[in-house]
Amino acid sequence: MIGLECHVQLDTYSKLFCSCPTKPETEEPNSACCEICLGMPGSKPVLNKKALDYALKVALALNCKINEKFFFSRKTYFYPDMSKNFQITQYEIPIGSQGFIELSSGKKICIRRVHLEEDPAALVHESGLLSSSYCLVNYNRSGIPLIEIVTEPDMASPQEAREFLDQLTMILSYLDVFDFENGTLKADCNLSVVGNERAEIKNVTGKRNVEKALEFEAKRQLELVKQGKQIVRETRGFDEKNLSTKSLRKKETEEDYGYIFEGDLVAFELTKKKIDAIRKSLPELHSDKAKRLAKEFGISEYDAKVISGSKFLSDLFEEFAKASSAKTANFFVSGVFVSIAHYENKEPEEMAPRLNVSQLKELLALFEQNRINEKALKEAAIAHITKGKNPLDFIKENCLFKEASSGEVEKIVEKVLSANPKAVADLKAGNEKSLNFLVGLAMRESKGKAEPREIKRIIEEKTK
Amino acid sequence: MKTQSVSEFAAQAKTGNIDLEENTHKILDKILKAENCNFFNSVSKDLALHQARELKAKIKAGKQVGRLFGVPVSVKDCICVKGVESRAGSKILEGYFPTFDATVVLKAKAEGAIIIGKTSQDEFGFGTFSTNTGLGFKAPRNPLDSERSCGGSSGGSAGITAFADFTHVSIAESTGGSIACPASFCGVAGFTPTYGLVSRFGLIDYANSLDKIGSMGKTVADSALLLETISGHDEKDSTSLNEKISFSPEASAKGMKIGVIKEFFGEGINPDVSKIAWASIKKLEKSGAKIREISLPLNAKYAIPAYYLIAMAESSTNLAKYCGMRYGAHENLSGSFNEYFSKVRSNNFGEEAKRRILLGTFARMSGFRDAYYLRAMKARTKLINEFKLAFKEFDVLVNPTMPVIAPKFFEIEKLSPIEQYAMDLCTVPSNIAGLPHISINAGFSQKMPVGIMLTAGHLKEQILFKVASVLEESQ
Amino acid sequence: MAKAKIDKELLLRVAANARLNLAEPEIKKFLPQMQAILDAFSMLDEIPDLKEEPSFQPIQLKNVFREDKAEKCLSQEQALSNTKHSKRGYFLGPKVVE
Ligand SMILES: [Mg+2]
Ligand SMILES: [Zn+2]
Repeated sequence: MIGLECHVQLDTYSKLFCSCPTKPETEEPNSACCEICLGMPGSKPVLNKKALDYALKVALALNCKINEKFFFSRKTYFYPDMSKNFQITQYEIPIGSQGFIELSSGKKICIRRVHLEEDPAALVHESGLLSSSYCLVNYNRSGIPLIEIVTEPDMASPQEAREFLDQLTMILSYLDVFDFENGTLKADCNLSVVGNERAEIKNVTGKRNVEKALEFEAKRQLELVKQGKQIVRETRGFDEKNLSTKSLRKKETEEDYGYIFEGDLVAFELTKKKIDAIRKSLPELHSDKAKRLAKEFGISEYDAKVISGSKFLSDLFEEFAKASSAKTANFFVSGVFVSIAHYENKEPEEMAPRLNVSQLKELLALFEQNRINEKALKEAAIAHITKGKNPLDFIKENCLFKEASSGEVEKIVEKVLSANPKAVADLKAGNEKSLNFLVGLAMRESKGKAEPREIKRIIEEKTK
Repeated sequence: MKTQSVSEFAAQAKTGNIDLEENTHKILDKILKAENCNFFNSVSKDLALHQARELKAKIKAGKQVGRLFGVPVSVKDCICVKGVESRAGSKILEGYFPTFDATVVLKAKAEGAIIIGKTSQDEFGFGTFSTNTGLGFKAPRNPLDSERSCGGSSGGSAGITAFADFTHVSIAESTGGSIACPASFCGVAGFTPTYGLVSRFGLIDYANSLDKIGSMGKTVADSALLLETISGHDEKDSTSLNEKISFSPEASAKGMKIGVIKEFFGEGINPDVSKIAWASIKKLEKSGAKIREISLPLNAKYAIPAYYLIAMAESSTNLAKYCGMRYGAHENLSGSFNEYFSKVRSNNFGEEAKRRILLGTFARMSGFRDAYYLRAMKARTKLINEFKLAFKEFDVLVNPTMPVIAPKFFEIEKLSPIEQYAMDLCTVPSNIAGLPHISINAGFSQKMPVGIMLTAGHLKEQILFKVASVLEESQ
Repeated sequence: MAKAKIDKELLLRVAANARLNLAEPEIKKFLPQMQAILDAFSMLDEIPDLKEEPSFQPIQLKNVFREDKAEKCLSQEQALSNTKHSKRGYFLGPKVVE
């Protein structure tokens, strides 16, 4: 069984309880701090309104029940990354509770709670975690708003956990509350084999690492069970280099957090009106969108899901579908663009700055008018995205227009046919093999530039 | 000779009739000569003289403004003054020079106040006699009898206010009675406002839901004027109220319904103290106030335990931040974080601080939290409600501020912690309920001052001012 | 509340939680004091039907926010001005493994 505690950084301008910038101009350590996020004696927190609105959006989008009255608490634990040695978080009553995310299989992963809290500082261990005799602390991150999303232990495999996180990030992208470029998603992963103690892997960064950490841990625990050994309750860390988990501390020394109310903050009370207003402001989320796209544009359910996988992709699709046919827009977005992003190892939204939509619209128009073929479309798109090339120029410079090439291909075909009368006779007699033979020859003659489909078409025409 | 009131002094200073630099020099000399009285944890000589020169320049430029123009103001050590070592009386804050001014300090400076230094206190405010000092600090001595305590925890503030033969006011702080108690023991006026009326931004916390910054002065008018200038909404403090007081100078008790809290005149209260307090109450009656007894059984019984549990639980989290990393006392960096933090904390907290950290940590530990911390938080609601009911009938409640006169140091040494906590019997209820209260002198017993305490409903500071002024005039 | 019995083990657990090392004389002193204090405080048990909600503050306050605006913060030098342990712009803290 797997349960996750995900920490997601909210995309605000200022920190959760002070007005320090969340995206400082320099990378210098401790250059984006004030008395509040450094926990200097005498300083006091004041809640960032936007962060609360964002948290409410997330809780609603995750189908949570919103608690109309809530407050903040102090969670006391001593650690060099905590500027006050307590974290301002929520304990008794979180903003949202009892939500869920539905996986593609229809299985619901229950969400126990969604709450708002402050991020600790970043620690640097100069000569590695284990051998450093001190740590370097950078409080620039201290106080950045996080939402913590805690699931029930509902996931049966690392793959399900991965899908959960994929769905979660999709939702966050639709809500526009998460900074995909700079933000991080971190998770504490609880994993247990039924009937045994659980282990917690702390602070795993990124979806891929979560999946890898869980895969390793599942294997390790199953192996122990197989050998009849006991699994101890403990906290483990994930080593990104070796893709393995290591024991950090056994659970019996568990910290007593001694939660109390945060007396420097006041109680919060939401009106039904406010909650409804936020609920109404929620954008159409991916599952609804996938259904709508399939129905409205007549594209396959699979493609509709791919496109709805992020707000960015679906916006792009709808934009193109206005200019050309849905079929073309779909081919470009789910076929061409997604595979380029995949090849570049980037999330689609990260490619956004590289796209010139109006230039791409011209390119799609050419394809729609059958003036270029699929191959030309792809090549021009790659040149545009990876090299910033205007796709229209690319087509012109490389003579990829169909009209220009067709004449040449025709000449090549004629040449091949007249040089191979026997094969032509065989073909006319119904021998399919000789067609392939002739296509092959013509391909070689064109030095691979021509499209096999087109050669085939011309040969068939000429040998009717 | 009677010293000039704050408003008289400020008016004089604005005309240029007082050489502020010279006056400040003189005052600083007097303070330094009285060093063995231990009123100050640090004297901000350079800052004070710099400010005095700046104000002089303002007079020349014709820009003199402010109701505290040129007035020497001392600040309790737990309130941050930019660039001045601010330690809340604790060794663990040795070397902490805040990069910012507390809002109250900013406001006082904006009114032309000259900040002369940080007054001594119990470490973090943990005490009633200013004897629970941090390591290396000394307890302030009562200016009326150096063998006796100034009271606490704002002991230094009360001591210097009583000692001063010059115009001066002090910014003090109360969590459970820390303004009223020393005001009573030193015979000065101590004004504790409604919770939230004065910004806590820049206050080194004792207990966030109880701490109140207030004022001390030789007279009701002086302390009221200071309170007026430092009060008002502050967006840097979430618990700051959207209110500002301004006192209209009026002494009147006519028609006032005054409740005498029965429980605070009986057992545990020195009979002489009771008698002196009653004499004052009779004076109010003569001035036209309607006097009746009232019983506050819940507060009399449960305010002390509820207050101490909340205060200790909150303070144990506030004190968690002190670990020798970012400010204050440091040790050689060695060992694991647990070892290092424990070393710094064990070497630099005083005994009462340790005791309260332990009790506060215990009170919020899982397994005990519901029975101690949470129960105390619920009890507070009940105690506040008892007061609310009382204020439906009364304008002001009255009691002796402290059950005794300022005790001698050797007497204090004999008290167990629980006996010391019990001394706050009369001051804690108004504090746990966040009610405004004032302590002024009511007379003398064994040549030591006896204070009387007036409490009003939330934000009814003006009523306190009127009634306290009547008592003051009748002295 | 069931009166808590403060024994040495519990006291040391609390002290460890609060990151305080207690010397033997301190333990001797604090043990009976804490017991006496907590016994006295357990008087809260007697309060009849305590059904009230806890008070966060003595005055009920709610919904206090600030707008999401980034403002000027401390310089690195100011941020580090109160620490004795720093290196290359970082605060220096104790190591995090035991
Ligand atoms: Mg958390
Ligand atoms: Zn900050």
